[in-house]
Amino acid sequence: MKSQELSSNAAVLTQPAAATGSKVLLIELMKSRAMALLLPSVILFFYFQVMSDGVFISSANASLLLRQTAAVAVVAAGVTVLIIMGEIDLSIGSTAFLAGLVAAECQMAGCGVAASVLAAIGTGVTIGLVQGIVVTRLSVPAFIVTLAGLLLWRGLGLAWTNAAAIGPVDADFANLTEGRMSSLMTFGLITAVVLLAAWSTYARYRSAKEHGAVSFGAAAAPLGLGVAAAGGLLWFYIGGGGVPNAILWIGTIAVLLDIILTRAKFGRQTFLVGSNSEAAVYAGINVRRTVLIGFVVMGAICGIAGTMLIARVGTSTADSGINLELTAIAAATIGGVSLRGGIGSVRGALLGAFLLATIDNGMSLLGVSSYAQNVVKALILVFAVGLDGYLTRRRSTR
Amino acid sequence: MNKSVRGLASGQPAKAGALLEGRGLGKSYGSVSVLRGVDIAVRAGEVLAVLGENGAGKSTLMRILSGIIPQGEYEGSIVIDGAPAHFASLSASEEAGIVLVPQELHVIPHLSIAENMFASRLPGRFGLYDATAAVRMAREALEVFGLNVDPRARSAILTPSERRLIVLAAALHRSARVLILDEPTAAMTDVETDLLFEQLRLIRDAGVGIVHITHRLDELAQIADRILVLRNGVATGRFDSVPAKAELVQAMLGETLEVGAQREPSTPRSPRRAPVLQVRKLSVYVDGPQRRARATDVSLEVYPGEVVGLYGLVGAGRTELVRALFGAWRGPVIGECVIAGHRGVPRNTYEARRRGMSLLPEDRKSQGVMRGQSISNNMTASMLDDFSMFKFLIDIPRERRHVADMIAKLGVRPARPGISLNALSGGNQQKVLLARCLFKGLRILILDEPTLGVDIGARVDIYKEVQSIARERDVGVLIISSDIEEILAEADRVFVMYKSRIQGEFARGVTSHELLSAATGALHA
Repeated sequence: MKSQELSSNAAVLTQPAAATGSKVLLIELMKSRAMALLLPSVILFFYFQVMSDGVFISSANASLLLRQTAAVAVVAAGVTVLIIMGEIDLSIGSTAFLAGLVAAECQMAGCGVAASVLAAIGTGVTIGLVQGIVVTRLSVPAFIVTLAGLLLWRGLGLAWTNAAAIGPVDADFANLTEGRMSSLMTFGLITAVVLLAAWSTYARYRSAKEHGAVSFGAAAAPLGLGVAAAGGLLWFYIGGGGVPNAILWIGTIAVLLDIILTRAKFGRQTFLVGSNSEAAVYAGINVRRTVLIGFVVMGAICGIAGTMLIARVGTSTADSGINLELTAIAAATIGGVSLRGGIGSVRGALLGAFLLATIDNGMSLLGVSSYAQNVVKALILVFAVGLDGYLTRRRSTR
Repeated sequence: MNKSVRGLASGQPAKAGALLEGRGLGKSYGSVSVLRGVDIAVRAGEVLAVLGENGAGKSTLMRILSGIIPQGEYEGSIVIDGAPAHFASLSASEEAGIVLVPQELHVIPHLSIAENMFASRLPGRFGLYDATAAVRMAREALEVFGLNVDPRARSAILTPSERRLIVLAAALHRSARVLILDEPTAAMTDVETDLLFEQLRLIRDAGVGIVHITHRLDELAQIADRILVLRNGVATGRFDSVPAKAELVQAMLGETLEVGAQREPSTPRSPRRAPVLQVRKLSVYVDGPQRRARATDVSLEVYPGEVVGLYGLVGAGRTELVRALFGAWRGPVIGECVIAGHRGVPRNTYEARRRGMSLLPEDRKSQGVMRGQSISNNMTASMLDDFSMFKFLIDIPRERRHVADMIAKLGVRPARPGISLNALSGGNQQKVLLARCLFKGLRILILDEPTLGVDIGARVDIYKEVQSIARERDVGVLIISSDIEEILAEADRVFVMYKSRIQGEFARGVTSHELLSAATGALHA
């Protein structure tokens, strides 16, 4: 499943077209990258499974893992857009913290769940807008602007509450991510996933036929993915006491961002600006507006992530969302998003986020100290990026 | 002139045998063979010109000879002074006296001219960089070229052709036995080319063997002693003197080709039609305290359906002028203009785009090609709105059809929309970038040096497309070029720019002598 995801990654970069020779080569390369990441992952998973007496791959643990990762996965998908553009956001954790704090304060003031969530998203959007305007209008590098944001937004929040914990939030609020879906919703979702996969498979088949190159593997990839996803949902439903709501957040945002990046004008411009912003200017693209929208989207996603962090713990604490940006950037990088800009996909970033979370979770199950966990994650990050560099070099000598 | 030939005295100019010889050189990448069984010999005191279309294998051949492709990764053997040589790297070949000046220059704008010139061998003292020595070396080398710049100044002030000159000057300053120049004249004006050749002849006469790669057939008579022609990785022609152009073209293309002769006469322009681009006394200044003018009181107009040439030497202010017209100039712009019915210059490039204006920029690598993006993504970068539903979602099948049509129309090779644009040859890249300019609703097309570093085959395709765009879609075309033949063959009218001013307007039928006189200031009474 992972190799399929990664090779469809390659398809995003190259446009599924009637290319034969170079496409085969690219798939070969992507395969080897996927294999190189997949093989250690499988070994690691197997090791976790054996050492934890079968707890690791249980639906209860998987459900926990999903809920733990939800916020990271969402911001990793968001920061992917910015990194592809050639920008960066180091303020993600602080923005999510402040947005979550606003939601918690709204809850304490007696606002409804919807109003609180909207307030959090509004906070994120405002922060994104401010940072985006400084980056685009004053030409301050995003690294600097968002580094300042990292200090500023958390500082503002802490000064406001004097670093006190704000909460607890309503049970309804907590259920946004922690609750389980009803049976009706679960089966509705499963049906939707399968239908979507079938439609996508059909569309691919039709387009491949038009170009006279029908490849069974390429056309059936979405169907396989869809069936696997539906199976996973069913597994949660039967064995884990229900599908966690967190899946809805991850799924919705990932699908939306993926469509935007691969199909929408804004997404295409994201890649073009990230590859060569001067050339984008000469092509008549409004580069400033594209970058500004990128920061606003990132802000909105930080708002959502802030909501999810509060829902998970039930209160806003002073260290909520700390280091979130670093985990997100690491996840995106492991998933093949290039910090040079112009290359990457939401799917890859999600994969990276889950790989990191799985390692985290597995080692916690085995009782490995969190200090040692950091060492392992660092090695994986360097390994993945080093591999990417090696493959790029090998390709460019062609 | 002693300085230019420092260290050459030991080079034994009278030697008859080959200084550097490659025997049966070949190179393949995977199953693709780019060079097969090529023999090349460079003798002391001669200029060997290497010709061939882009992708013919010229650069690969030079990369082998200079050790960039190391021993073991190519077929065949290299012989120096009769003894086999094995180069593991570029520095190994430089040690043997083989100096390569690559086509793509890497001049770092923030560093000084002297630092850029001697980047790989900075003079040192006690382990520290000796700036005084570097500046002295740079002065010596630059003096030879008559380049009057301060070696301590930042390289950012240099024009592209001046950048090439400093790299050449630096290469000549070391003791070279064989000098390999990969398309040194591609971005040069005729005056600069003459200056370069004057230097090359001196160096040649001092006993250096020179390999000169070029696209320009005109310059062969001036500089070449012998000629090697490559096509598709194979040597297809060897000449011991300069033959007729038709013969060379035949060896390069495998077919005879009448350069620039197949165009129909220009359509007379109707006096009642309004110009699509009208400029009155426009001046373009560099942002800064001195307010240096790059274009002064320029007046010109372009009518729909005609191709207008803007001829001039590099540095005359042509690029700055069109950047200002396209909204891509940061400094002050003063004067009047009407562009596609709108008054004033556009404030930015997307406003220019909305008015129906597109610009094919001069610097393909940094202003054109979006590295790593596919041919398709590169081509449609300017026209996503043409394929978008509700200005949001791209209609991918429609985009794909358009890209396939344009690839077929312009003859882009390889015809695979999915591969990365930077994997293509210069000529094919330029075809894709030209296609990028041709969006729906195009009214003014500006081409800044459209065929720089583009092989003859691709040139013909590009000219054909530009002419048909002008005639069939009634677009006003402005071609900037320092290639006189290109201007004479393609333009209906020609403006000549010299030292930031328009020096004259000429009708079709103007001679190259008149144009060159205007462009060098000789016309000025």
